[in-house]
Amino acid sequence: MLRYVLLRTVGGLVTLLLISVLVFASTEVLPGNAASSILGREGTPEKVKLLKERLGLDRPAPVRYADWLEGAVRFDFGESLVQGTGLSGSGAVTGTPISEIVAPRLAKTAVLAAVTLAVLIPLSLLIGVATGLTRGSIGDGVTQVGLLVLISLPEFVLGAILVLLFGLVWAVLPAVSLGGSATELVLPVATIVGVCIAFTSRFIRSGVSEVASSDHVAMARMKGLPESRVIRKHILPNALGPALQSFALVTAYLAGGVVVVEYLFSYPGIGQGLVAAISGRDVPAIQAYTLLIAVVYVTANLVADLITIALNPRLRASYAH
Amino acid sequence: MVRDDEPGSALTRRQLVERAGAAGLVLGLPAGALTAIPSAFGARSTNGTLRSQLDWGPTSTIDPQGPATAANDVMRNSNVFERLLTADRSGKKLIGVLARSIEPNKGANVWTLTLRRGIEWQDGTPFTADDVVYSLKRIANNKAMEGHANLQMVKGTAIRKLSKYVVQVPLKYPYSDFPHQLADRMILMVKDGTTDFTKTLNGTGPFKYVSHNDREIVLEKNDNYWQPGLPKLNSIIGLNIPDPTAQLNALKSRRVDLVPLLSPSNAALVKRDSRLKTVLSEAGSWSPIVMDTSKPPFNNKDVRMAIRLIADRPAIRLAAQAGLGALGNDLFGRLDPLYASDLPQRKQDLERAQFLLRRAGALDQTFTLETGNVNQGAVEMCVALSQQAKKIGVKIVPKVNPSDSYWSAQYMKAPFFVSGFANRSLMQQYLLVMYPGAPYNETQWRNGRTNKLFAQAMRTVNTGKRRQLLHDVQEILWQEGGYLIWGFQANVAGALKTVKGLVPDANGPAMWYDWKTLSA
Repeated sequence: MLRYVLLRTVGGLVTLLLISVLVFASTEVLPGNAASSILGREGTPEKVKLLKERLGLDRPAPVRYADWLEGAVRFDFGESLVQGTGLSGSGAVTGTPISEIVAPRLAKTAVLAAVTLAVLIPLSLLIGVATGLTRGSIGDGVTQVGLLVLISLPEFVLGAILVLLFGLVWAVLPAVSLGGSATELVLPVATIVGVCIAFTSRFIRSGVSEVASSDHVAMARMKGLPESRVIRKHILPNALGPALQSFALVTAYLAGGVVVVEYLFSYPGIGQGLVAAISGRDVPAIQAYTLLIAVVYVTANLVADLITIALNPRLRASYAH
Repeated sequence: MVRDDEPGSALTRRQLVERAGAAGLVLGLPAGALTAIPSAFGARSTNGTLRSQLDWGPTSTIDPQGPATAANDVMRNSNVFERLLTADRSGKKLIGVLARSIEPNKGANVWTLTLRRGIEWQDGTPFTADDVVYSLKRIANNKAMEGHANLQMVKGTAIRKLSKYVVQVPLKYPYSDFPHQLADRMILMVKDGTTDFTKTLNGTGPFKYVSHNDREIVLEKNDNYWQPGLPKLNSIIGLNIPDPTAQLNALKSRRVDLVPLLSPSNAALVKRDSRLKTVLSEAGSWSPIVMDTSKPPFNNKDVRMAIRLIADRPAIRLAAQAGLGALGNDLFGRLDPLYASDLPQRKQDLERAQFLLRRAGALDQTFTLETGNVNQGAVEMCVALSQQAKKIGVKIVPKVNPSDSYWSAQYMKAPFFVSGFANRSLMQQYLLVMYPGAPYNETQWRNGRTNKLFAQAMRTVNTGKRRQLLHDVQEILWQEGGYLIWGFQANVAGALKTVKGLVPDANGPAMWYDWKTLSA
């Protein structure tokens, strides 16, 4: 078991390392000249030369990569090229440190993701278990149709509908989420939950209904155990494996997929930050955001794998040696 | 009435949701929804605070003399700091701000500024010639920052103080239009010796800087401001709302009082809402279609004229900017008093266009027009032109390029492409795009006659004589130039009806973010 955890963690780290190479290469090495692509219309040869010096582009790429990675580990991604630029007393151009731009946005996205999960997990468990146990009933049918409608709406459509109804027509909730206060979280959270709920609850539903029709559950019922105990002790633990996988996938989706939702509600998280960084050609910021999203993605999958194994005695045994 | 941002109530709501979330309950949603109801229906008491949507843009600067392009930077700069001179709301007349007057010598190469007395910096120290000398030198000597404030004609080392309130500015070459250069919105005065703008900002402007990050900016009233009775607002809060739909939602739900620059479709929607109002400003910024006069087929002036005659300008304006803004006559500098407004407005003349193209042997040619979503309406205007050309069988094919690489890959490389400029005076713009050494000579203009006339105008202080010289320049450009300038932009600001003092301003969106006379 311990050996597997170690192996899996090392695997995750190697994946991250490879991603970091890709991120660095695609943003700095591949397009030929980062400086002229950053400057665009302003790119006179003199200015390209000055910016190249500021970026340190004269040094070989592997050296720059090593420096960058070493900084990234310490959450130091260098200075922004376009945010908060000013002229220091010595005449050099300075920018806001990337960590100062990214950190508050990361916190905002973490809040959005945490609240979303806190709503999504109990809600999808509730729906998944209820429909899994009553599979084929009218209630199940109606719920499934509703969920399919939700899952077929892209987040910007669902979000726009929610804003229109709750933000403008009935005007009971803020239509934009600028500061991320509690009420401002409601609509973005509802949008993401709406998009994800069909996926997670259907995952749980099929797990539950499969387990519910298995022999050991039939045995437990025949023993005369109360239904609540059957669900808690015999169905849920076995159905939780696939459920956890689905929650891990949702968490990974949240890291990158909230971009659209954040933009729609003007929520000041990493999604909005990434959009701004790309349109400003702020290479260090793009690198930081992409790497952070990758970290969340890899970590979420790793944690889900480990929990799945920990929860399932058969898997636990097979990885024990 | 409970306000949405009241710290006490927000805390309670947050606690509620946090507890609900921690307990793993689904209560978070109804809890938040219920407590929101009173605030949403309450009439917001503003207490003299203006909340405005602002564009944060892809770039930002903390340096008041840095390359401020995003609205949040422009707003902060124009309210905390001040210029020596500025254009009035019509954009046509210069008025003194920190300077009382500006006088050239006979050769137009040494200018003398007389400053207003009795003005104080926000830290309480007096504003004097030393500050102006320091500020102008800092701008003139700055070569490191891209797109920063520009005084390229100033002899940086030779600026000097003549007395406590008089400054002499020698130029590298005669330049009769120097006051317009000084009135640029980036030529802001900073206090003598300031090198660090990261912690505090010390200006002479109507508002003091409180805080700023990439989501929100806060300014508060400067009680010691030198213009009596101003500013009228107690504070300004700027909020980062990039998406046009979210901007409209924020305005309609009264989350903001003002959206300085509405998209054309939003402008139409705001106009229909009885609680909101729009303010239209005819501006001087323009998005031309550019023909490179050094490359075939556009090295033939008949071809250039034919393309200009194909254009149905009102139809292009309708496609590109919802019919708003002034029509163009293939000349820039519309707001300049020396603009040749007497030249007849060019109209579509397909017959003549066909004749000219036939004479040039270019009737069957395919003209590839490089464009992209680089300016508002940049693609639409090309499509409209292409449709109009079809009527006489001329093939103009718009090619839509990715906007992020357009400026480095197509711009000024292809012979037929789109561009865009902010409002500038005639002479500033000519220096930028035509005079020898111009950094953006998009049309590859190498006309000895106009350059000679222009050089003469640069030396001519007398306005009447200068008008004649520049009129001759414009007449040649009107006949032979490489620009198709079909129109100038208009800006539409949207606001709650409670916002007072919002008037049209040709210089830029929402009174060019100079908000000392606004009240809310």
